[in-house]
Amino acid sequence: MTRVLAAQARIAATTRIAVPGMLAMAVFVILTGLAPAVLFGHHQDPHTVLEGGATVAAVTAMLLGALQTAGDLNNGTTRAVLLVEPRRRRGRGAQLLVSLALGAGVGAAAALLADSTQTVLGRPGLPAASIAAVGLGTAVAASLCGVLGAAAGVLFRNAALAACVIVLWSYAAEPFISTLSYSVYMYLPGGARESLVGHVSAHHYIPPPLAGGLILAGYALAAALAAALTFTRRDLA
Amino acid sequence: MKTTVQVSGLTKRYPAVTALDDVSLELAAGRVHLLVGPNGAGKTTLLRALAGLVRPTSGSVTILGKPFSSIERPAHVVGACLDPIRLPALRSGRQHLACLATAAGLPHQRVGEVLEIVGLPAQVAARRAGTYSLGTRQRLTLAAALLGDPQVIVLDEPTTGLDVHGVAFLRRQLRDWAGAGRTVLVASHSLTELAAMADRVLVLDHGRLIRDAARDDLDHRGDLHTALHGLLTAQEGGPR
Repeated sequence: MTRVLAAQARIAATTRIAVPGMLAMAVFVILTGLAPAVLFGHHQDPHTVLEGGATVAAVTAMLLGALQTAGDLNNGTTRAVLLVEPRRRRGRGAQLLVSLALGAGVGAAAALLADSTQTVLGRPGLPAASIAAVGLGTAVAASLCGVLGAAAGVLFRNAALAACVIVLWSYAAEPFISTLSYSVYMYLPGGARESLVGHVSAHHYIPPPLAGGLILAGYALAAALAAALTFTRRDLA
Repeated sequence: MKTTVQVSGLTKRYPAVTALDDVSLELAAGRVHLLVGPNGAGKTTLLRALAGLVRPTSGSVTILGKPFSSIERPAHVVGACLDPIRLPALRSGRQHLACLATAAGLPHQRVGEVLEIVGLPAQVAARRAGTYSLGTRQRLTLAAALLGDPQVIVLDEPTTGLDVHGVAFLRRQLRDWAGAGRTVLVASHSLTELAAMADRVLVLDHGRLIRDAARDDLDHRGDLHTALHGLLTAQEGGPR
């Protein structure tokens, strides 16, 4: 398993989507952190800034995971690896673990950047313990979202389709559902992610971070199993 | 001759077509087997089934007595060169091979060795695979197949895109591999280029193995093209 994991890490490193993805994520996090203050003189609550960074990190991790797995299926990498290591579950497991690790890196970077934007603005930040808790929640959420994205890439087999579904789900479907019924939304991946980063609401019950983490982990596990089962039974051209 | 590959009652059905229909055959060590047949005969499906990429509807494929997915160090047993068109465009040829060497648990010096065997210069291997010509892609895919110095070598249309030097190299390699005791299975339309290298000829048509014979038995007049055409015409019951 170690060599397959090392191979998948090498594949991710040489695919050349991780660095542009991280850079794009960094730009979004900085813009969402700075833009309201710079453009409108409106200073956001530091916690809200960190939560915004967590959302961008989670979606970035999902996109990177999906683009990696669907891209590998389409450009022949998956097939080439299967010819030297035909145990399919081993390969998929390694790929999901790499997406998990990459997502954790994306989440940690996003939390640091989001907090830095407040320092740049000279705004009083959150206590260190709160920043650490939100940062940890962001890293965990992004890592689990990385697995969700990687599984989506395997299931959809098409990088563009997977990316469209992820963006539409995250930025259209889930927000729409939250306006209809927040009690349903908080058990969806987006709601679970908000719980993980310690979202506070005066109007709705928000499950504790641990519960949010378990809900998101459940989605990631279910998606990983579905991807592994589908891939094991699929013919590769 | 020792049997290395055994295919028993292999059938692969897709919703619209039966690609392989109860195919049984054996491949022996030290022999070059040429797999021929018209387009859509099932050649590529058979090779993919051998390499574990296609799940049979029924029947089995064993290599050295085991299914491919159960072999402990598979890269040392089977090397397959299939479809050179699809390569990761942004990764260099050397990086691609390094990824595969890592997955196979092979030392990275092996990457340089196989690049030398297939005649890919270091500066070409350092370029992105997306910039490669078809012939260069073919060489890179062959290099990947040879990484583990396998006992069974499976090649699908290996002359596609190769220049005359490449074809000459391949012809030499086929005999060298067989001479070293390896089992070689080549699916090809290029009978004029590869038929002389073959020990046995396997003929597939409409997913069925219609002939498995020594090349000299089939090619008794020195014209394998005509012999195959006659065989396929007889199978159809009239001129094709």
